[in-house]
Amino acid sequence: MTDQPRAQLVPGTLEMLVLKTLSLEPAHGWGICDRISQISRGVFSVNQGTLYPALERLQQRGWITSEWRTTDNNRRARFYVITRSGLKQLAKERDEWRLAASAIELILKTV
Amino acid sequence: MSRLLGLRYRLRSMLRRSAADRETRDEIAYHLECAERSYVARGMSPRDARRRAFSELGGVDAWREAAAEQRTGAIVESVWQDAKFALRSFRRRPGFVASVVATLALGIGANTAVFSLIHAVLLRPIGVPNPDRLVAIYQASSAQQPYERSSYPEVQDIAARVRRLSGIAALAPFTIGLQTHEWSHEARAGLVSPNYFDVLGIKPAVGRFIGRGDETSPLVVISHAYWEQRFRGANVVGQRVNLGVSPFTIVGVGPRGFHGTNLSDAIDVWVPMATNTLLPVGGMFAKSDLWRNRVVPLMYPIGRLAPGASLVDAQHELNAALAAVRADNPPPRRNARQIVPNPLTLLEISRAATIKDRQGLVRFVRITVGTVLLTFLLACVNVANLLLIRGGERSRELGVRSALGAGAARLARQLVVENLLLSLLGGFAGLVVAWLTIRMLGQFTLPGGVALDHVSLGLTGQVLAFTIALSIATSVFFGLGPAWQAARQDAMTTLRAGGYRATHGAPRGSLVVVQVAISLVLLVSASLLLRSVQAGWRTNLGFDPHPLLAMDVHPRLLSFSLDRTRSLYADVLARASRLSGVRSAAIGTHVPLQPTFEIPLSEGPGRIAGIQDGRRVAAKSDKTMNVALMGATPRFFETLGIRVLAGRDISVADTPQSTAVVVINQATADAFWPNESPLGKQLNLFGDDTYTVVGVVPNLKYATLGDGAALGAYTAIEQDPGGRATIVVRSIDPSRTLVEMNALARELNATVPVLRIRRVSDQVDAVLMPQRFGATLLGVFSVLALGISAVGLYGAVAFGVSRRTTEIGVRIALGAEPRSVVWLLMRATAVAVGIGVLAGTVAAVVAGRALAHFLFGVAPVDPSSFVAGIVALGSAAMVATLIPAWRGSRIEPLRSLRSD
Repeated sequence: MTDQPRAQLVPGTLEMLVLKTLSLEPAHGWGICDRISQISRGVFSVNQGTLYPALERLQQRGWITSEWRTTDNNRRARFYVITRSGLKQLAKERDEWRLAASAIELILKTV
Repeated sequence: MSRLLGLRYRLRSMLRRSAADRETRDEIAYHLECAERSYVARGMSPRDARRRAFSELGGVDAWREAAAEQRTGAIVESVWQDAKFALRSFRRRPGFVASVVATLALGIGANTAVFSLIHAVLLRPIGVPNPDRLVAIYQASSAQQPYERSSYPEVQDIAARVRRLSGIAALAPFTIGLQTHEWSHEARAGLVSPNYFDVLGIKPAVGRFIGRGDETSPLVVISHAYWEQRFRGANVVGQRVNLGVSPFTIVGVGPRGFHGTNLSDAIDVWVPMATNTLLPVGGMFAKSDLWRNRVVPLMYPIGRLAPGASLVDAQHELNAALAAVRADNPPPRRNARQIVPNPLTLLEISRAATIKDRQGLVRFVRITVGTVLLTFLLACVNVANLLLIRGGERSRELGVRSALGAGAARLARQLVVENLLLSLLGGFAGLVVAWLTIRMLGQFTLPGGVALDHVSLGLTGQVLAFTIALSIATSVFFGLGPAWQAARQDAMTTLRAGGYRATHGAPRGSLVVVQVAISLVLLVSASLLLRSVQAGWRTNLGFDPHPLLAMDVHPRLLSFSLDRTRSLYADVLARASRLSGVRSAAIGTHVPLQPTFEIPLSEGPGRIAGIQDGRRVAAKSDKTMNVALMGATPRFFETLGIRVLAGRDISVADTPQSTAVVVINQATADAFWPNESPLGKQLNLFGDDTYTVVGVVPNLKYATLGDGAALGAYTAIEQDPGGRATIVVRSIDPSRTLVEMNALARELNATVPVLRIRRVSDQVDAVLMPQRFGATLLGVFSVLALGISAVGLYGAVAFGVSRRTTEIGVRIALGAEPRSVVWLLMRATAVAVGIGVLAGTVAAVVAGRALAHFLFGVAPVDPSSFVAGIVALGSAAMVATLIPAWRGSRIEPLRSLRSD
């Protein structure tokens, strides 16, 4: 169907990516999958079976909430909205990720 | 903040489970729709698109469940699942569940009922502060009667000499008619010493108590319960009531929950001790000055231990004081009891509270508790047996679940939840059984006169707690064994072994032995008591109770004058004689088997030689014996169907103006005049009244069926009208007469309290109460025990059969005889039953010894009881083991081989 390169989501990053997506704008489950693969230009595709449990976890921690809204094509769907503590958590995870990624990059660069 | 949000979300979703589920479903549907559309847009066929959407989402149920599990909190959710699973599996095995629940219901129910009983009778507080420092003081009158009363002067002299009791009070209970201008009632009253309420340390709820200075005043204190029931809590202080005919003034109401210190004798009203002269109390009270009479002991003393004093020390000090008091006041008569003081016994009031026939009660409670504990043990053993068998049967299921990834802890938890559910069901059913049993118990009176319908026998909070604790203990104890095995077991081994873990036969075998032994003990004990009841009925009472009806009247309670009493008796007798079916009617102060007073009778004429220290001194008393003394009208013996052996009956010629006469029984005649005719001889009572012997009648059973030749004497009621009278009629149609007698009672009630209309044969029942109670209790329990054991045996054999299906198939295929297969299948259980019967027989011999006191006309090792028990048990065991074994032997060889 498509021959562009694809990669597994780096373990442990799904929640961060979901938070990031929702920080742009509220979205429903499918929308989140769609946005992640769009923004990553099709490199990452979210395993849909793990998405919803992750959304549950995020809700339980209070980082996101959900509400039922009407979509553009007039259907009811559950939209997820990031909370203020979710934004804080996103910032924290981003910093951690960047630190870890640059460290990994450093090691890989070493000849 | 975030935690709060999260918590709120969890709470909401827990509370709104179904709504959350629906939302999840909608969300999935929408997701699938989007995915499908997206794939179609990329050029897939709608059908492929749907398939792809589904497969990408993965197991919908799996993540839904995972989501749900996270949502509600894993433990609650999965325990709920376990419970649901357990209920589903219960539905698959109704027989198993019914057996376990019924077994637990029996064990827990019986235990709860008996615990209620003990709580009500023995543990209930008497409503005074520091009841553990109160002691009851009893004086022995003989080795057989260690718990008797003392005389008041002696109590006072002793109190003055002892330091280890801070005070000694005394009470004498009696029954009296209490009359207001609206109603009259038979009340239980207590004459109390001035310090009574001080020693108890209680405060009146209303008004004041009687105390020093009130000794001779006609004042009365009523109990809180009596105040509420009879006076409806009205303002009663200052109100006048009649006790008998004397007016008394109510001065106060006792504290709530206080009915005197004897649980088996609740007191309604208390009056000052010296007012006994104002009261129409009969018999010994009337003839005694309670203040001064040292000879007739009428008071029950109660003491309070001084701070720091021990019971044992106080008892030593009391007995030393008693000896000193006796030395200073030598008794006037040569009565062994009074020359050598019998020891005083101190008992904590909580233990003494139920004494009248304390030893009888204690024995009785012990036997009841023993029965119940045996039943409970049997129930536990049976449940253990059933659970082990069930555990064995489930090995395959557990193995499969373990292979599918259920952890050992998860499996164990499942089993514990199951057992907990089972025991809760059992506990609930047990409460129902307990409630029924308590209602049954309410009909009985315990030895010592503790009527169970008076003690509030109910399911109290404590009893409920006890039941719940029992059911949980049962579940934990018996749930852990199989759970532990399940947690440990190796799934693959089990599956390979064909689904049945190689359980050890030994524990199950020994469970069968224990079950059989306990059942046999219960059966034999029940049979022994049942035969006692039968023997009791066959006892020669000296008369035939069946055609006799009786009715009590209490003119003395309303202080009828002697003349009025006599005319009342004449009137009642005339009317009773006219009832249809009546062939003969008479009045006695007691009918046989109704407890009587034993009164010391002495040989010779009575004459008061003088008064010394306020004591009457008899002129002559060569021989004194305690005799059951009753009053009777003419035709009394004829009505009872007793023939006069010598001399004459009491006749209409015996009037107050003629010589006082007495008819004695054979035993009395033999005791006083072994070698000569008693006719014309004289007897006296307390040295006062002289009676001439005019007749001799055969011995009767006066109080209990076990009475040997008890001494008895009958005076003429006309000459000596007692405080109470029983009208007894002989009828050819007792049922019809009984109806008319009730109508007569309603008419008579306008003038005199009429009590207890009954068949005299019912009194035989009453006397046989402990045996009937025991026989009922043990009978019911032993039949249930038999049923339980049969279920257990059936289960054991059936389990063996299912475990050995393949082996049986092979044997049959190889030509084994069905009979030999049956024997093979029941052999192990039959051997265990045999050992159980042997052990049970030995245990039943021990149990029979323990019951000996209650046995009547039956030896503790009564062969027929043992044979009956063994036969009953043996046949039940035979059926229970034969049926599954026979079924096993009918297995189709081929099917059995294929079944694995």
